[in-house]
Amino acid sequence: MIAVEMYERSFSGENRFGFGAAISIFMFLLFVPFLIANIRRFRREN
Amino acid sequence: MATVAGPGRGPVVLEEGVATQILRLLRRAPVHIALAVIGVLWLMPTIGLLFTSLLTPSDAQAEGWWQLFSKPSIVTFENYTNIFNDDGIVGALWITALVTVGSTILPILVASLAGYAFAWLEFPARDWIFLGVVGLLLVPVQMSLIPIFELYNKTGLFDTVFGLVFFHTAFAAPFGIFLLRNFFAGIPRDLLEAARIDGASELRIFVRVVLPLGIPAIASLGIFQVLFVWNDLLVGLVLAQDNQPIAPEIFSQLRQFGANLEIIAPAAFFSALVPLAIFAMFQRYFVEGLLAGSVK
Repeated sequence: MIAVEMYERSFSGENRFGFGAAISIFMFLLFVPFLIANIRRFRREN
Repeated sequence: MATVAGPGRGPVVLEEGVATQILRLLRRAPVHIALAVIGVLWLMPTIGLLFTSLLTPSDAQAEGWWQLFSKPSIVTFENYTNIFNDDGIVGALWITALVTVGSTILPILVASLAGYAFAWLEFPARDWIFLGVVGLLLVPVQMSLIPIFELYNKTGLFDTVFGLVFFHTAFAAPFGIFLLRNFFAGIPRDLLEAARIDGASELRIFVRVVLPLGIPAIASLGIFQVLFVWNDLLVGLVLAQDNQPIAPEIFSQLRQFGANLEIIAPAAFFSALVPLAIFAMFQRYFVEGLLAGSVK
């Protein structure tokens, strides 16, 4: 799980915040298409 | 002949009735059996947890929880008295209760005010700001863990109830605003205009007209929040250390000693009882709230 990986790298011992932050930004980028689709759908409905 | 046929028909009809009833039961049997099997499978982990929490540590190690079926006499409530005398667990339950109450009331307050503003007040760039809120619905919680962790470390909010409440409030706000705005938008304009003509201020309209009408949606938002915050593991794990809520506390028990089931099982079962009780009490609102704003 990528989310677990993000937690493990940043908070459980390793403290590699840069690495964890990069993973979470990557996760967010994966979400962006859905985010745009959601906003577009919402604008169409209203 | 007619008199013979008369009573003769009676029992035959009755027998047909019984036969069709049996037939109908038989035809439905596969569905009932399948439902029962699914139900048992679904409940199995919970039953296992409950039974494990009723065993002494040595009994739990000796055999699985199913030994309770053959030896019901070994049931003991010792584990429960132990966890309620354990300062760590009781403290964690107390913190969880405080965080849950705060993280339910605060988002409802913010989201209902914002929802009313987005639904009925005119202000510049309203629709654009609301689109921003819709976009925020999909931001994963992991995005904000590191920045907020560092921010809390510098501001002293780390490991405090307020810190957790603020985090949960911020993350509940987009969904809450979205839900309540859609629900409030379904309120007939006539009602609000009538109140305005009677001389009510915006705040009065909000408190006296919009809030009472919005209770189904507000209640369902509150239930979602209680369930989510009570069961939250990740946020509590990252943003608290010595004052952790119950889920991270149970998790840390798991990591320290490997198999101290006599604490984990009763604590986990008790912690699961609370959302279950709340769900049972407010189930009506739960279903109503899911439909909130979808039908106009």
